[in-house]
Amino acid sequence: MKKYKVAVATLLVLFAMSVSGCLLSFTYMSIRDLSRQSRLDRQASFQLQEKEFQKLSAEHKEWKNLPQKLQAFHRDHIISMDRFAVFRRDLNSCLAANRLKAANISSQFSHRQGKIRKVILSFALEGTYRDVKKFIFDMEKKPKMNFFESMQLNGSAEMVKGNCKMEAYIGE
Amino acid sequence: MIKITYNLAATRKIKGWSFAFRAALLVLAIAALSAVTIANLGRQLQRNHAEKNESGLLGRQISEMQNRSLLQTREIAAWKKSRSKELAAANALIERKVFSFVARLDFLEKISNPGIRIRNITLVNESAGRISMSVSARSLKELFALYKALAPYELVIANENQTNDDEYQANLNFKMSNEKI
Repeated sequence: MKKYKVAVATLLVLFAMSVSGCLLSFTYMSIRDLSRQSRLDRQASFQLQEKEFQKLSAEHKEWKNLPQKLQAFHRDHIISMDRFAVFRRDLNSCLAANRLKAANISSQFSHRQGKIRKVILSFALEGTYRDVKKFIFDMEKKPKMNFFESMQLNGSAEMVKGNCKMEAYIGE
Repeated sequence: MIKITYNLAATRKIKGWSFAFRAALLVLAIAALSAVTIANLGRQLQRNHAEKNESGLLGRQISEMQNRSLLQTREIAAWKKSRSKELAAANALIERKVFSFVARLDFLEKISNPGIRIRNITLVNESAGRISMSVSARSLKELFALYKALAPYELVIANENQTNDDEYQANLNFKMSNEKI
């Protein structure tokens, strides 16, 4: 009889322990699930930081590549000193192609600023409005760094008289 | 749920098979509960391990990111100092290169009625896009239609005269920046 008592007591103790162990394991899991929310918050904040970092990296890359880009800009758009004569011939041929009479084309070279020097070209022109506009269009579409600084056009009858100032940038 | 009743009286005889069956049920229940506990704890341990790894990785990544950010910020600040002047000069040139006189003339052609004649016009390549012009109009209606078309461009009517041959002349100033074209 005593053997049975011991066996029953042992089994009951074991049962009680397993029930409480099982309950505790569920409780522990629930608590861990609650703490997962804070982990998700941490992850969200990490993702935000990562985005900021990517933005900064993109900016860093742009600044890093800037010297090459500036070099390419100078190469492609600034008129080299030995190409300035070509640019002047282009200007003359553009005026001639649009049947414009241009007088007193003067070039004024300014002091060098950094690697480039500004040249101001002033001239008066005369022709029909369409021809003047076509000339402006032709000069504006040229890829090199020359552009009109100011322009004054006077219309009389069918002819337009104008005074133009152009700027050209030449590199060393 | 099965109600298990034990008779532990000293004198009472216990049925061996019945006791064994009930004890077996209890053992099974204990085994099942223990299995659930072990499974729960095992799963949770795995999760904990994964989380620990992940948070460690996250921490290392954050610290690496912060170091690199600091380095990059310093480099950017140094480059800004040394290169921003050249960059500003290049951007200023580009801005002036894209200034289109033809686009402005096109616009004026579009808004001018046949009764409007532009006598002279001055255009300046600057960011504000200042334009001055003198116009003649055959009627006030046409002149006011021109004013209306130019109103969004900060139009200033410097003066307006009616000539002897019923023509209206006006000197106008307005601004047309690249963004407004």
